[in-house]
Amino acid sequence: MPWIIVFIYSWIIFFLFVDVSRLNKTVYGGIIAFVLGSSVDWAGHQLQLYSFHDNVINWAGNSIFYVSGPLFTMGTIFFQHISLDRRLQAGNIAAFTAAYFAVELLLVSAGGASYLHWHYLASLALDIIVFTSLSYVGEIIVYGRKKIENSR
Amino acid sequence: MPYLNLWEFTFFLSIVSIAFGLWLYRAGCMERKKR
Repeated sequence: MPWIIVFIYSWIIFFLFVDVSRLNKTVYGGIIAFVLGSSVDWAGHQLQLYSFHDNVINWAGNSIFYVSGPLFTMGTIFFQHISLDRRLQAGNIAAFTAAYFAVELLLVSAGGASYLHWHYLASLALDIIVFTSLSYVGEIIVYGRKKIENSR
Repeated sequence: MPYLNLWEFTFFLSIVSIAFGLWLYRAGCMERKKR
């Protein structure tokens, strides 16, 4: 059940903030997050780092409502909000990391997931690395190489 | 053992969502101003 609630909340935020005219480029953020999240969580599940419960519909050891909910929508919204202003982009990385981490903590607290050989700080470090690297990939996809070079 | 029931979970998730939404709104405004 927690997965379905998170799914509904993330799609509400998505519909409130999505810029449909830029979706042809920003949707790649969602697709990358979907693929990356599925494979990392599948591996974490296989290695017994953490486990997921009440999945409703299984997808790579995880719930389909999680991968197609917060992962896909956050990836798309993150690509949409990528800024060439370094300070604003650092703020974006911090805000997305905080939101993602908070959702993960809540899911663990509500029994949707449990840590077996894992730690909160490992999740936090992983989230920072993922959003930082996504912002470099996203700059190229959303703005193109030329515009990035001209802005520096 | 879970120590948040579904209502508590939804309540805290709402707070996180509102905070996140406020950031997205603010970041969107700042980006539009620059263009």
